[in-house]
Amino acid sequence: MSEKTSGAVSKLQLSTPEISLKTVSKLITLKVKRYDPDAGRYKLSIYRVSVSRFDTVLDALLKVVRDQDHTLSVRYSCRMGICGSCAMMINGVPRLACMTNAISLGEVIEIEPLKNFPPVKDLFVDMDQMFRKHRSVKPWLIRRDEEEQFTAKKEYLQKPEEVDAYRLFSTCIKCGACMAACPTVASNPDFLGPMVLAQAYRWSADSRDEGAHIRFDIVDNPNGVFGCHFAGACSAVCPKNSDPALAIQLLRKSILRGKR
Amino acid sequence: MNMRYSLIMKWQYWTAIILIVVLTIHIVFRIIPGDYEKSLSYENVRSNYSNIGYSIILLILLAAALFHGFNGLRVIIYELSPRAGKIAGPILLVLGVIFVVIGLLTLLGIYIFPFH
Amino acid sequence: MAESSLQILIKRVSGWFVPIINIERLAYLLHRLTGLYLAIYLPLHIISTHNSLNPIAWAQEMILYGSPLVKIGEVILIFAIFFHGFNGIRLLLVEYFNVCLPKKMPSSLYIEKRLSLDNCQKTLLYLTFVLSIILTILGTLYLLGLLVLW
Repeated sequence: MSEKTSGAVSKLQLSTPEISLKTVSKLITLKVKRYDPDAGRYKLSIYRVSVSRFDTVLDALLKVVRDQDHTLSVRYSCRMGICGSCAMMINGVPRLACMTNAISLGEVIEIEPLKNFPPVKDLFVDMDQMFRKHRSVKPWLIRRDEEEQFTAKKEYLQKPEEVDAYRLFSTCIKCGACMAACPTVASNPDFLGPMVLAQAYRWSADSRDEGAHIRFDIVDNPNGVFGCHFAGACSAVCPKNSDPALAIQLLRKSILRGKR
Repeated sequence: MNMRYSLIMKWQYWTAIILIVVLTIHIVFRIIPGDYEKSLSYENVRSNYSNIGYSIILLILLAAALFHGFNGLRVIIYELSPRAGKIAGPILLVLGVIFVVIGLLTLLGIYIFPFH
Repeated sequence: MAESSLQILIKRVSGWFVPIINIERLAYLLHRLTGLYLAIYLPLHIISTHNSLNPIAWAQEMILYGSPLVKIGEVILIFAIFFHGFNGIRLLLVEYFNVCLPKKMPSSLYIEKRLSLDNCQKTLLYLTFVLSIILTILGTLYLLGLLVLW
């Protein structure tokens, strides 16, 4: 039976030690860097937990919460890679905990809250600023005739090719992994970030949208699309392969050429 | 009021293209003598400036490189601190002009340093 | 607990260096470091060449150029010029001339290759590294006098 996992798993290349079919469960160590809001600093908690071949890092963390330490706080929801809640730094790389196989990461897994976000408690972080930046690029359909938009009598039609132009970038689940991976977000807190810029492109490239020039004005500055220096880390870590770096490149092309 | 930032970026791209061309010419001129040590001799360096075409190339190189480099510096400083970046802009502009002037004087053969 | 400005600065600069997840990020870091190196070198070079107008000052410069520290700096300079140049060409091609950018987005929902990181753009990246290293080696050999051209 093939050991390959299904296509929806993140494409990050990690070394995968041979997992024998006989391995039923293994005792691994989780080194969790947790934020203590009362003390105002991080502390390290080390847990030993038994995982099966199929357990994800989220499964391991929830086992810890259930059996060992009830105070460990983890944000999660769907546990199947579509809600985007459980993004965290796993062995130094921002990933979704529910989509990361635990046993393939080795004996020790280092888990930290998501980088570039202000921590709240333990493993979860404050996502407010990211969503505030998201709102600032108007991620909705803008039509010249707003009244018509809200009292429309029929749908706005789109050909399949027109959907293709933005479909890939609409698969973004706003998990924040790309923001954690981006070096510019790390050094410039005002930088909009890969998710926001990719969404600015997603809405501008939508053929039903008539507000591209408004968004271009918003991102045409050093905190917008020109803050991106193509490190490509965002696309490397995106758990949905949504390729925000490509969206930013296409957005830059549109702005430099002056048209959509 | 504010010129669009994409215009400054377009200049950055264009000075990059110009630099690739003129820097290649500059490097080729440095390896024409065939020997690194020989190319640094006083006579050889002075003779470069008497060639008017090459002097113009050097002048273009000077201006483009200073713009491209100092603009890059400004971008990095701005990323680390937007306030410092806004101050750094005019300072780097002034420094850039100063160095263009020094380079221009070199090409014209006018020595201004207070040595010997 | 408030952080001092220096601590914030160190944290922000360290964000350039870690984590290096993919090669493009390494290219970004090197492009930035070589750019900084060149931006510092340029004013020094302008001052130094100005001294070429005065034979005594020039002789002093030549003595300075002979020191091993300067020689190492020159080798790093060669790498800086070539890497920054070739990576710059790669960035120009992709960002300004839109080479390797799809004119039409693919219609399949299941994308195995990320267009920004694979195939065409990856080839350009590998070319950048290979050409930079080759030309750095050639340049260093020429500098050390081990490569006489004619």
